[in-house]
Amino acid sequence: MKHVILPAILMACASIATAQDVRPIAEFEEDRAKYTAESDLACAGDADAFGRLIAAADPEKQGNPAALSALAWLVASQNCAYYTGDDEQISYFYLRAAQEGYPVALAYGGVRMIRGLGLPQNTDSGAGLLVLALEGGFGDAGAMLAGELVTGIHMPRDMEAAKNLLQAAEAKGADPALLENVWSAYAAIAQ
Amino acid sequence: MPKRGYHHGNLRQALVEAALSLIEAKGPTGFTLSEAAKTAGVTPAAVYRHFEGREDLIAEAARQGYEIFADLMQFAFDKGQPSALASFEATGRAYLAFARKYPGHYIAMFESGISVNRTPELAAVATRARGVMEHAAAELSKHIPPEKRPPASMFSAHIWAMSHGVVELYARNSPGTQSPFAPEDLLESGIGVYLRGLGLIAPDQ
Repeated sequence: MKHVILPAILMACASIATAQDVRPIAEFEEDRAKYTAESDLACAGDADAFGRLIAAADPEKQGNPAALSALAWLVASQNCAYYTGDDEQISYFYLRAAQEGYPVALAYGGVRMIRGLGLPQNTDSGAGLLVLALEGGFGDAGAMLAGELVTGIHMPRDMEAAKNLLQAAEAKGADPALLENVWSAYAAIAQ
Repeated sequence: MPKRGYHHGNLRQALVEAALSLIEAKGPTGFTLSEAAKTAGVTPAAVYRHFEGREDLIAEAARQGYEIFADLMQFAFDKGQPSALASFEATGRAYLAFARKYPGHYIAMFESGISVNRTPELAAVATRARGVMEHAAAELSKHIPPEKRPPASMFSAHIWAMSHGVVELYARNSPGTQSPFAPEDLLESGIGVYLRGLGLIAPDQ
């Protein structure tokens, strides 16, 4: 499996910002559920599920973005059978999916860009991808960016922006467990 | 030391202005917060220091639009005094002038789907703008006995609707709509016909 980050893809993703660059997450609901299930099976060692996931993701030819994103999760998860831990490969899969306007991939690709995981660090572009993902209806993206702003490890701490992002994330139905984590960190630092 | 701080002179206003230019160019749903940030020259995360999202930003653009609009209407009304009719007609013309001069604000106010009741501030200034026209209407109908007077809120709303229609159809280049008359002339003659029909001004001799 080729997993070299193409500079062109990185450049294209760094400039993603317009309304045409993101599609509503609702458009991907069915595929997201399908390939999440496939990646769960593959994670447990199901070779057939892995084969189906690879075929759908088709990383060489820009396959299904939800499948690409699920594949990225699979190879990034240490407890999974197909774990590679290859940061370049993981970022490549997410950014390929992000190019199709998939909000989940925009969000995870954005975090990887902020942290410089498998690609050159670019906090502004990374934050831009997360904001776009949030606008695409992926509430978790707001909480993820808020988390980066609260910890202030990879980008300047900004508690005010983090608070508004958390509220926006809540309004867009972010995962309650993720929200709770970030709110806790926010509260601890705000004290 | 942060790589980039928030030393922008007025980040909030810079974002509103960026949003206005994007609204004008791409429509109220055609831009993202990331684009607004980029246009304003700030980081995407910084947007959230001042706004909770794109709609919040558009609502502020609309609020500022209503401020300008209300001031313009008031100025037009004052300028037309002491003639109640001149004042009333001037507010109608001001509507057209506003739409032409401030297209971004106009779109944020009337075409973005943002409710005027989204925030108390927006509601208050929208009420102020409407109040100018209602006041102009009330002045115009003063000479009629109260029991025969049409409600000022009603006929000012009719004039508002007529002004809005002329703007939408003939002043903002709506595709496929053409009139052999200038929008100003259409509006002025329309207001005249309507007010004569209500008996608020004397018929033409």
